[in-house]
Amino acid sequence: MAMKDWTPAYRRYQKRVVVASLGYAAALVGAVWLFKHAPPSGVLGYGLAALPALPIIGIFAALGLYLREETDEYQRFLITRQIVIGTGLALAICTVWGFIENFMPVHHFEAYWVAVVWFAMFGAARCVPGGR
Amino acid sequence: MENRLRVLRAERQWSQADLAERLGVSRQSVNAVETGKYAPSLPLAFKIARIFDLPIEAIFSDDAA
Repeated sequence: MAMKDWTPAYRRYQKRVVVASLGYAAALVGAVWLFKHAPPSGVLGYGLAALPALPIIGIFAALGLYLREETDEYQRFLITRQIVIGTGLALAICTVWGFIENFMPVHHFEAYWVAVVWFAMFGAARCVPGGR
Repeated sequence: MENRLRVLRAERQWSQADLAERLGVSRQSVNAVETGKYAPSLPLAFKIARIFDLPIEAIFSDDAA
């Protein structure tokens, strides 16, 4: 969708994603600094370690809000299609990698990479022809 | 599903953006409906019919019919 065609709901979604992305950068830098210089322990340590995940969850929530707020049914159809294709591709990649990792000496990826792969596939799904 | 949106728009000298504004949707959505890439829901089809002051079947026709 060209910027001039952005619906009000899509503009709100974009703003929320930008805010969450800035929050993610701040939380990640903060967590890395903290665990390097003064590593917290116990429940606080677990909580702070999970902190960078919250803005990522925020992006997923922004997507959910967008689907609820979008009144243009064609735009809603496009984003739903993008989510379904992106999720399918991400699950396929992670499943294949998991089995390779299980049987062969390859790099182990931490579970949060699932979100990274999902975002990449969600973006790539825009390029899949049909429906636009 | 086929439709006469392009003709009806041309008769009124409306651009896709004009129709989109009247419908409260994006220009891309009007284009998708007009080119048959997307079949509108019943509520949107009724809205389009009201704007052109025509019955739905005078605007949309089913390929299978």
